Amino acid sequence: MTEKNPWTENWFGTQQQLWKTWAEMMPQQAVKTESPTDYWAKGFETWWQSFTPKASNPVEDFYERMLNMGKGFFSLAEGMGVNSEDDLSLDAINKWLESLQQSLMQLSSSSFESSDKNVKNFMAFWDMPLDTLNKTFSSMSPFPGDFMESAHAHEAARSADQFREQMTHFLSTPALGYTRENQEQLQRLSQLMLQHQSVMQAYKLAFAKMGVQSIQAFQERLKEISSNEDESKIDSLRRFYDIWVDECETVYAGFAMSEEYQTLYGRLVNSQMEIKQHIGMMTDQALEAMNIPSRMEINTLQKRMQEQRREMHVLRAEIAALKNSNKAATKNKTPTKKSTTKKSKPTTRKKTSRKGGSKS
Amino acid sequence: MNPFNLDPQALTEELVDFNTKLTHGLQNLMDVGEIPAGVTPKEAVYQEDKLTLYRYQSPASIVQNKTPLLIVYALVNRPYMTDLQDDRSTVKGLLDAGQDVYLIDWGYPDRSDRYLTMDDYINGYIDRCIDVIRQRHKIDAVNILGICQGGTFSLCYSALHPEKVKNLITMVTPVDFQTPDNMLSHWVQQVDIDLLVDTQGNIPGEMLNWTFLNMKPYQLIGQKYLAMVDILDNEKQVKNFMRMEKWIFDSPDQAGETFRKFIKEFYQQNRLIKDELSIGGEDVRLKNVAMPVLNIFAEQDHLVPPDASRALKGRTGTKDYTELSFPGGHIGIYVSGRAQKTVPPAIGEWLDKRS
Repeated sequence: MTEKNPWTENWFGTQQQLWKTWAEMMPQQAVKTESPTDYWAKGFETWWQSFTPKASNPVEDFYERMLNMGKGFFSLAEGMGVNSEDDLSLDAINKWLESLQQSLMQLSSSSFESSDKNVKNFMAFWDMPLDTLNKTFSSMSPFPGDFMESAHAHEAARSADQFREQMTHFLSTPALGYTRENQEQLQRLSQLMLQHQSVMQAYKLAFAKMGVQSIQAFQERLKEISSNEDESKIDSLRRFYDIWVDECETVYAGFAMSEEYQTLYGRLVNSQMEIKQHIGMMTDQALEAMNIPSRMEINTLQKRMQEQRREMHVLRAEIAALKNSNKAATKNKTPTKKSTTKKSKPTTRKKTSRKGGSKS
Repeated sequence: MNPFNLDPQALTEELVDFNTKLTHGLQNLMDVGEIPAGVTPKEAVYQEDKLTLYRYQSPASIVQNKTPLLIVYALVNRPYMTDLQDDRSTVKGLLDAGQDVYLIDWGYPDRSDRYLTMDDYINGYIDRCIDVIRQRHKIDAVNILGICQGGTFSLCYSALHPEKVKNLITMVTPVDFQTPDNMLSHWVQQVDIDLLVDTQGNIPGEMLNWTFLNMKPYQLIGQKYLAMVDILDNEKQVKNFMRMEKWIFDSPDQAGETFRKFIKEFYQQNRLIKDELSIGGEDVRLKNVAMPVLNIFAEQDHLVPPDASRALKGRTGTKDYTELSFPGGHIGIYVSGRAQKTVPPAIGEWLDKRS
């Protein structure tokens, strides 16, 4: 960046202007006296924090989703701006995209932590499907959503594969003595967690590769726009963003429909469920030891209750049918004016009991 | 040639404009308050466990079809999507088209419902609701409108109890669960469903939400919110948007045993179309669906691809099969302006001809 770079100057000016807007709208006590280096990002955060307690939960969630997108949008603008020495050109954008591509390739080696602010902010864009997946799993996990995430970072620092291999070897040591069963359970849990980490790593690697493909597709699309005189030029940041989204979505759709993704997704769900099931089993044992009802016992009760509900409905239907036939018989005995209304026949189930779970 | 026609000044203005809209829009968001959904007056006519059967109030001036219409919605998400707001209501459109509309609201299953099976839903809940309607109207058979998974349930019901169904309408209903463009189906093929259900019990609605959003993550988790900034200054549009958001994230948990069967036997084994399905010990054969069938699907449906619905053609035992293709998506078919004008009137007309 040079001082004469109009993009940089404008970007800096814009941030100052944005900071002023945020500051004017914030309650006075929330405005810090020191001048932030990154006006926009800090303005955004500080301003929102000052409002958060007043906003209701659905609005808060919703607004946060929008703010996150806003961050990506501004990072996009920054990325475009800081890489342009003069006019915004295809070369300048390609330079920026290549740096993003580089970052994604580093990510795929599982040891990536970029210090570049812009790259870091914009990486959130590719993380969207992964982030969503984490939320999906978080809804099923006994741990907070980022539990395994921190485990990955820790593991990455120790050189993932080697560490895992050593751990697996260590965990296969036979358990001994009075607490043998407990040892085995803990060993099994650790093995399952290592297995899940390994699957998660493969999943992230595949996503990083997809990110690289998305950038390449985007570059191709920009080239196409450059070479096609009939196509209108990109005249707004929003259009730039929309084209980017379209390309990413197309590449993602291809990836999500691949055999590779199907296998990865299946392995990921299965490995997480194995952990949860194992923890559930250990918890049940602890509950039983404390004479507290376990999940297994509650399941049995719920299953029996459901069977009784079914039987009750069958009996009710049979009683209703009997009552109807009695009424009909009585009517037949006493001749009355013929009714034109048809009697409804509640369904009488053939079977009187059915087993609860249909695990076919 | 340079693909850009963008100078620093224009970029700055765009960002300042975006920022201003976002900042000022918060006030509108904080003023949104409660977002009502499910607007047409209705009366609860039957309740059982967490299920409620509603009957909608018809406009007095309209001549009604004598055969009532029961809407069977999916277990996933909430049925108020069919009656979202005054100017976006399939229910209202059907009432205006002279139909006497009932709807099953499944409620929110909890852990005590974990062992509810598909047999309980189809031969139990749906059948009892239909019996209630038959008794109220003193008729032998009702019209059914099954939506999405509710459409699949309705098909199964019609195959098992054809004598109680006068006309069947399936709307965005999967029949062939393994068409090549079915992303959901593709994803679940290697998931160990027994392990999932045995571990989870019920399946969290949140998990399904995120799964659906992950089908188009960049658009549905990103671009959509960025576009929202443009309408933040319009109170009505903000409310509409927030109402839709409420619906999207309002997902009941799924009863474990029903989910197990639905994913294994429909998505993984495609048994319905192969004539290999049985429910409650009885075979479900599409050839038993001999009543008139109207099959409605959405051309841009990413959840239930059109081919998944079209597969019904030629597989039922009916001689009166009609298809209605709607140029829109899975949600647009209930809420878009075009849908309001075309879909409910078409259903009304089709039913009236067969009443």
